[in-house]
Amino acid sequence: MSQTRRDFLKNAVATSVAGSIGISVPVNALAQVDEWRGKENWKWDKTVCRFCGVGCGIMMATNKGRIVSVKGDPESPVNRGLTCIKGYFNAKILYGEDRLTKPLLRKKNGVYDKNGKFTPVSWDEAFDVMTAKFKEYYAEHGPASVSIFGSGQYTIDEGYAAAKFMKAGVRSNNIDPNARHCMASAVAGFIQTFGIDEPPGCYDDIEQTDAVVCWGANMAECHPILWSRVTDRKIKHEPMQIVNLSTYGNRTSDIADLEMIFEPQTDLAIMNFIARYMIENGGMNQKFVDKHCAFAAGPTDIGYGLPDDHPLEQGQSMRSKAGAHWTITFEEFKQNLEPYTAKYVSDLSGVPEEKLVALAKLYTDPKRKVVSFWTMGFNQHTRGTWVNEQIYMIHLLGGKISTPGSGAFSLTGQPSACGTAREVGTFAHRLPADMVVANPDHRAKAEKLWHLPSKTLNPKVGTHAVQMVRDLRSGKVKFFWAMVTNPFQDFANANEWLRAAREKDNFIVVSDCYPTVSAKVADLVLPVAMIYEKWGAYGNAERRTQHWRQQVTAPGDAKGDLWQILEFSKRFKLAEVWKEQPLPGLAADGFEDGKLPDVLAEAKKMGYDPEQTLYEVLFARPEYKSVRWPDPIADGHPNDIAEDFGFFVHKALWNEYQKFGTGNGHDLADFDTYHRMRGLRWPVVNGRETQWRYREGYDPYVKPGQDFHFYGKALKKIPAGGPKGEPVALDGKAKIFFRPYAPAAESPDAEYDLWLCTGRVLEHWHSGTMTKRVPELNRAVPYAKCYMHPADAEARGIAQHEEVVVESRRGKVKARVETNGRNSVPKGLIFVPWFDENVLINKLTLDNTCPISKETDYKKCAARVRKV
Amino acid sequence: MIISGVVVASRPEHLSEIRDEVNGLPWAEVHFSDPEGRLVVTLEASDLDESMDRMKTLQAIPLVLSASLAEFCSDGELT
Repeated sequence: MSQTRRDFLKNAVATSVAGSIGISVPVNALAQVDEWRGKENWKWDKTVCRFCGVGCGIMMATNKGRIVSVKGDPESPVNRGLTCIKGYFNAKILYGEDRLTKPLLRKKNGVYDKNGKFTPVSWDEAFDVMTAKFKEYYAEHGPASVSIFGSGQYTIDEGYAAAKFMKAGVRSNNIDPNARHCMASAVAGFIQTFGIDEPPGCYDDIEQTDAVVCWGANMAECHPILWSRVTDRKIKHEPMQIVNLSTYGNRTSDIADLEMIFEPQTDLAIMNFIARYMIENGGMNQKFVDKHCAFAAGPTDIGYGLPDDHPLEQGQSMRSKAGAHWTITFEEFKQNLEPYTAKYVSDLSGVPEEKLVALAKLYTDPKRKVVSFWTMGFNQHTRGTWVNEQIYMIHLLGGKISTPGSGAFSLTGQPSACGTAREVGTFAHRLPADMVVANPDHRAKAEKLWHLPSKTLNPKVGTHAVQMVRDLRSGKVKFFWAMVTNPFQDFANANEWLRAAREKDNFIVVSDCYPTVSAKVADLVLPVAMIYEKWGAYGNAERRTQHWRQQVTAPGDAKGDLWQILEFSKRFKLAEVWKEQPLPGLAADGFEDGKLPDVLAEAKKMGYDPEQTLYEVLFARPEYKSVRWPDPIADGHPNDIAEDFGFFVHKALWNEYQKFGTGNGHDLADFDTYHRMRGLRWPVVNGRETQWRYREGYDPYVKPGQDFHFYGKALKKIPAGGPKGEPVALDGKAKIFFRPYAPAAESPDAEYDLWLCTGRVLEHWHSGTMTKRVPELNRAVPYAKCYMHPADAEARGIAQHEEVVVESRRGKVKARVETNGRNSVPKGLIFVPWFDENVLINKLTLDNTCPISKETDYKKCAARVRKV
Repeated sequence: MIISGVVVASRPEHLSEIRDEVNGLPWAEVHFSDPEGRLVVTLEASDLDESMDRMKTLQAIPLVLSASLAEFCSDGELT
């Protein structure tokens, strides 16, 4: 590059950046940038980032079919022109050397064999074998034997199509996403407290708050762009306080006013101390609580979500009713909090009393606005639902919620855990827009919108993620299709499921872009088109739905997940799936025990032919096919999937999906609107988005004079005064739960003397499927380290960077010790990130879950470290 | 050659100190700043690998609160 051109480019980039963040620059400099942009002949378009749940807007330039430049979208309200270091790699993840471009089937002597070698095959052969295996198991064992393990990285249309195929097509509720591992406790907390999912507030709280409290969320490293908004507020607003609560020191503490390192699991007790302190010191907003809240409690002996025969589950009498709850009086609530004194909680948590009091004062001060953020520290917790409910307890007691600058905000880790997994409802118990399969009215509504005969939908909750792999081990689940996720690296206690995949009679399909651990143990690997190789939409943590257009074409035979689902659905006739089906354990009103009814007779009355395929009935309906491709909204961008099917599949699916939420608190805008805007936060009513839900003046569902109205409908009729009390209706109210401290399922002991905590590092995302393919990221952080306190290392005679064996009761891995890195762990705890398949730390973790949300606790189990 | 545009945030009272430090790096240049303590910096690197290392160097400068990427471009394809 010539010197002049280099200087010119530098000036152009600097001017463009200054313009996008609002630093004024000379007019002639801006004109130069426009000139430069014009000459490059690059096509720029808005997209979103592929990685975390923050949902940053990304501008992407393409030239000659390749992505050539990326910048933070200055018009995005989320990131305002910035990106984190992963922004470099949104383009590059597509171009890894080992990208999968052909279906791969295990074959021996020219035919499928579970013990065969991966062999490239055509899509036809791949689908032939996949269909034959599916139908073999389905015919013999019914809908409960087949499953899809989906993802919070599905685009909305992919998740919607997968859920519809499973629930309406083959009548199985065995679809559950990896979001079960990251968000389920947040969901259960929202539903039990508010009766509707997702946060009341939004990111705009940051610029209006006086305090940010991070609970088990290393925002500086894991949500850097949101963190830059927090640091910005800190600089500009003098009263602003930042508190970091964690089980180890991390980068979020760098600008914190208060760091609190606590013993794992004792967050439950810290919360109760804060509530007790607030009530004692005038921190309770009496008027708000009286008018808008009710006090509640539930059973305590609910177990740890382990298999029935596990020793820790014995004597836990309320395991099957873990989610039950009832109203209590304020006096009972106060009494329950009584034991949680500063001294008791300080002894338990290891946090000095004065720090506990300093934190409680922030929440107690009626004039101070506070935002609490959390992610996996709360959610991946054997009492994850409880601890989510406790943070609402604190915010509701003080009335610090649904108010600009005050709120309790659950951050997300995946780009569409909210938009797809939760809102579409790709869970074993859910239907779109917060409806559930167990509710006959909800099923009837879904059957109407999906044009299904009555009683097509299966009322029995399917197998949740953790149960799905346990059922793979026991042989109950025989067909397992993983999409946009890497389950055999992700699940705790991984050795068990790796063995089940390879040694049992089953068929494992993995749709992925690179040869992950899961792909390696699969029977069939399907190559997928990645994010910018297809149209799609994600929903971020603040209820913002964002769509993007296809930018480039996928390599080789790789095809989008939506294409794969629709093609697969062509291979099923109604006569095969809508006849009577065995369903062991089914017992529901209006259904014969143990079976789903034959609905073909009613289907005929509705005009269907039993010989029609699921593709025709679920996806290629006449009203779908009338949504034409090409469409002016494409603005010259390709759509390989629409070309293949002959209509604008994404838009057609959106039109139908949109109907589920309308008038139901989940209102969405029409398809084209999202392509003209930088996303909108639902509910979107009369073209206007909602920043603060439940609040008069902001939320269209709240009427004048109500001030606040917690209108979520779920679980609002509960027993009064105790488990057997008369039902009482709590319409419009939020619940303030009392939840006690409970010890972790497995704690360090003489044999395994250290806490093991797992998590992320900045450079890698999740299991490293994409980021490990980027040589730069891989060189920066090539392998997972075992972070350890120097004294713990010294006591074991271990030197810095020495290779050691880390082991638990379930498995072992080798890793190098880091005593001086970015994470400063306390004595007695080690931290190992989980991105590295060569340090497959989930071989060690325990598959214990929150018994209510069924989300795994990846943050604590007992382990030990020894020299190799 | 890859050119990255980076926004560096500091406290306003540290602005000039950080400007001198960044301009002292052979591959970095401060173009603009504002009274709130933000600086617009470009950094040059031969590939993405080097770009990222240099981003981290900026992040590690004492008194720098954050260094966020805003834009990057290259002459031709990303490699």
